[in-house]
Amino acid sequence: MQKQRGSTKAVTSATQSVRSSMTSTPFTRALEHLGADQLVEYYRQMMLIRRFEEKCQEMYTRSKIGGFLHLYVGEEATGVGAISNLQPQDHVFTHYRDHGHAIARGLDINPLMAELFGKDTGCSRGMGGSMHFADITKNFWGGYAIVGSHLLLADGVALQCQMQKTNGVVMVFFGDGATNGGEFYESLNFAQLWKLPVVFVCENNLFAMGTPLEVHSSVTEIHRKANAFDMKSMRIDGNDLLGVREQVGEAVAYARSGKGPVLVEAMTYRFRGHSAQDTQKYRTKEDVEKHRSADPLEAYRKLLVEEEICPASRLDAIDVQIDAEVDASVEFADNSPVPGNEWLTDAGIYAAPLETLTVDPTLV
Amino acid sequence: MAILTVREALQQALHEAMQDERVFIIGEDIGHYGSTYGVTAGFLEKYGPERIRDAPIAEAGILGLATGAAMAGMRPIAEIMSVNFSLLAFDIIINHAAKIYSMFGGKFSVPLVMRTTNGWTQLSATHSQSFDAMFAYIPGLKVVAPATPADMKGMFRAAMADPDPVIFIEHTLMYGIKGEVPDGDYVVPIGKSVLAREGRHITVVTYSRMVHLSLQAAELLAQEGIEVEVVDLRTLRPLDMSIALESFKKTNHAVVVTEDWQSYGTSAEIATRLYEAGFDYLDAPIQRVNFREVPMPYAKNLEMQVVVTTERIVAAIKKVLNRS
Amino acid sequence: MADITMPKMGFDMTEGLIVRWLKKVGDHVNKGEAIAEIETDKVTIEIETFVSGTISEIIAQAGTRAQVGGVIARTGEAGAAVAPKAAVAPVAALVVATPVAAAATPRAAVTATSSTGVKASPIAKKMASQHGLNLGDIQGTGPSGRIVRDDVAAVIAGNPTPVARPAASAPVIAPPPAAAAGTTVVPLTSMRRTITRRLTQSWQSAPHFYVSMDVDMGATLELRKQINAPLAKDQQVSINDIIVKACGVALAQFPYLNASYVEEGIQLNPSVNVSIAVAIDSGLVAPVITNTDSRTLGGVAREAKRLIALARDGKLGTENLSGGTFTVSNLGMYGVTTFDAIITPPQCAILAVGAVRRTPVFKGDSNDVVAANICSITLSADHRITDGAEAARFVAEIKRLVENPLLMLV
Repeated sequence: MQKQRGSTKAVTSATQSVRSSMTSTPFTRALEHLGADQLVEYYRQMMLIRRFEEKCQEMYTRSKIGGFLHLYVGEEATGVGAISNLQPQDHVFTHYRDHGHAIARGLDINPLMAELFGKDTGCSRGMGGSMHFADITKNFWGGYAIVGSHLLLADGVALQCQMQKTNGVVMVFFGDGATNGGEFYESLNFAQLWKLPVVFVCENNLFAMGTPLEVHSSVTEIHRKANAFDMKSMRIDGNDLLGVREQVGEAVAYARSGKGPVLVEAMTYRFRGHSAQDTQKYRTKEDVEKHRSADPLEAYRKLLVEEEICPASRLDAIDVQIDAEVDASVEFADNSPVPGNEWLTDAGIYAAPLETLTVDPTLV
Repeated sequence: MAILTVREALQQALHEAMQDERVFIIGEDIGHYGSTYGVTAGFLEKYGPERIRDAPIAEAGILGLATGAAMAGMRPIAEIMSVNFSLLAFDIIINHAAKIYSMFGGKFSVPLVMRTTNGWTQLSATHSQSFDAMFAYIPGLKVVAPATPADMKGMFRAAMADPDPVIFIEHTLMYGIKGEVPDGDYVVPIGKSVLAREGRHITVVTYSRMVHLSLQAAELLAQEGIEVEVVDLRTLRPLDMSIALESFKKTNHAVVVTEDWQSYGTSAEIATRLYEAGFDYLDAPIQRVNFREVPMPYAKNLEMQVVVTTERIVAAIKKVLNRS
Repeated sequence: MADITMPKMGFDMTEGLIVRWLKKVGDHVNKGEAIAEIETDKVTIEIETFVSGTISEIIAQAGTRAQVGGVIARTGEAGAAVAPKAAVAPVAALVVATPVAAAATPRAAVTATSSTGVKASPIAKKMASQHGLNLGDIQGTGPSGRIVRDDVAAVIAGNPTPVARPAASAPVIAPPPAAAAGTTVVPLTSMRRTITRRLTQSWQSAPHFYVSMDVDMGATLELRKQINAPLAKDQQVSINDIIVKACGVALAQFPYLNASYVEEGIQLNPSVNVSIAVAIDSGLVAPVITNTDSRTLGGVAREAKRLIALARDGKLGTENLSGGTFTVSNLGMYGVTTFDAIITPPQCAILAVGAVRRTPVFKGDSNDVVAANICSITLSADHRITDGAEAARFVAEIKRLVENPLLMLV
């Protein structure tokens, strides 16, 4: 068994000048099928995630945002590439590092920033915060902060798709650290046993919080864990946007066809700490710098420019536009009202609140 | 009115529930095995494996899939064979089913019913527990524990109609208990307690199987001229104390009988509610009758000293009334 | 120009210590660049700037602490004059939230009993308050003497249930015979229930012992004859009045016989109030002759007559029935020679007085037999409060007083 710690292959396929070589690559196929505008749109999504999160960090340090703040910076290509394969009837579940997936699924950033600010206009009405973005109008079922459990909920929604024949597929994101707990194995067994339409996307960023992969998992090639269930699986370069898109697209098609679930292991890297207060003693600055130099966002930008899909000036204009959008989201959040006290009553806890008869007033 | 057992009443309720195509049952040994306590016997043959889903022995998975399916619009009934096994699913129940509605801003809910059983009969420590208080502790869950065949059926119907997760607690020693069950459609609402017996000297507040033992104790004491009023709470969350308090206001004396451990158990909450709202009506300290606080022994002679008996209820009532 | 503030690096961070600056005044910094190392209570970590520019001022020097959000540096034109702000607080100022220590003033100890020292259930207190009853006047029959609902209800029901209660010839409470055809069960009246409860409590909680003596009533009978001769019938003094007066005088000398057993110990009662048991149609009552020791014999007699009349008319009030410290029960008029009485809780003792009977006795140390008027008295006492020798001395003192009644007149 070959251990591949930290080997993310540095987006080689995307950076080669493939257009001139005439060989068929994810890039040429994507360009052919989607057209240049769609390729630029992926850049916009990745940059929006990047700038949104940089602003999150700033707002966090200014105490505008409370609680934990887990940033997705560096892993954008996996989320954007994978989710780009989904149809409106499909579903997304994700973990607590959920900003990127929410934006990739098309959630408006105003309610997202408002959620972080704890405002009533937040996507979860200010009740969930950073780790609990959700929007059922987009079948985005939310970020879940208990590692691994949400895989079972994803199976449940897939069961609904199967039983009610919606033709929907469920995509569920989780980290390498989530693949050691029992709920991961239960979810894989159920999904394969009942041939549920689930695409399990493991974002292997090499660390379970701050514990290195080889310290926390007996099998470091996470995709091989699917073998125990006779489940189809694959390991992909999570930093190659178009590669992710294409290979996860195959997994989605497989799941949609009714053949069963797929486990995708996307190799990627988190540029920032686990959360804001992370001294990152578990990795060296050099390691981080090495990965940063292969920033999937920068690499993709370079590809678009070099392959003449889009001039740098237009990309710069997009960046400026995004900065304005992000600033507007802060203004929106700042100006939004806070949630009302009804959340502190049964009406905030139950869809059908019942009369609570804790005390008979005549007796007090 | 028909005389049915608890089991038969539940079977009727489940058959009724299955009329809704969104409903499916997921659990261990509910189909091919024929159901541990016989409640879903014959269901697999009638409704097929798509809707009567024999699950692996994976309680977190059973509850997790049911929760997800409920979020997406199904109406799952998750059966956990014994409440002791539900511990393996507590993450799903507490961190997910109970939280999802409020944590995501009330945009979607979890219309899930989890059936499970309390019970004991020489099953030793890990198979004789009650976690009523642990479920009832959680805001976001609704917890019901009916005592009679009629309430079993009527409250199951209410549970199925409810958009929130409902923990439906049964009892292995109650399936054979008989009682009158109304004909036709009826619903017994969640969150409403009921007077199980009228009396004027003392109030016994209880629920589930302990209702039956308390009624037996009341019958015995009636022969000594002590008239016991028995209140069946039926729902543990939200807890309706109105009838119990009304009764306590009249009798000024109370015993709380619950089949779980005393410390931090359901009786602690019930007694506290009586003290809080009924302090000025208190004539003697409230007594509680519960499991002795030990892991349940296997040996019959020891087990019988741990569990609640009619004799212990009678003794507690006499103590409160200062009668020897 | 822009402020660089102390960042919040965790949800629980409130302040940070500047360990060292990685940049100095005049350095150019880019957005995202590390500028300083700070220490929180958990970690030491580099912080980055969200603005680009030249550092014009470092406000929080290395080694100082700053609150989250406080300005620690500024960017702008180097050397630009900037008015210092008070955002940086010395660490001492940050520790203002130390909880105030628990109040130093000791509060009155809260005990199991109420402020009046009476133990009562909440419903009993509420009912007593609603009916203007003093809990101290009500005898508790609950565990440890707690006043419970039914004790108050009995008083409200018009039933005299105050402290002093007759114990004389307390009915024997025996299991009823099995009901047979034609058996009539008479429901208990509330007075009957009260007697049952209170005397049962006394019998069960107070260990009784008994001391008996024969008293020669000759001198008392003679004195009474002399006193009563000129008086109208309704002014006359009875034998019982003399015995009650003797008890009052003796009790003044024996504080433990004039005591009450209470939760906290033995309560020595400040005044001597002798209750007299009075039979009435519905049972027994025991009105109180207050300050028995200091009343004249005539005063005792007049008060006794007044109380007995009130009792027979059912007009005794709470004030007539509360505060007794000792009871005298006399069944002499029925020809009873000796009997044992049950103590009225929380009193220490009760004296049972029999009939005065003509009896042959030896005269002095001689063998001559003469007729004497003898009365047997039996003291029932609570062994928790007193013992046999003390009780004997007390009864002997009563005997001495009754046999020498002039002692009570001076």
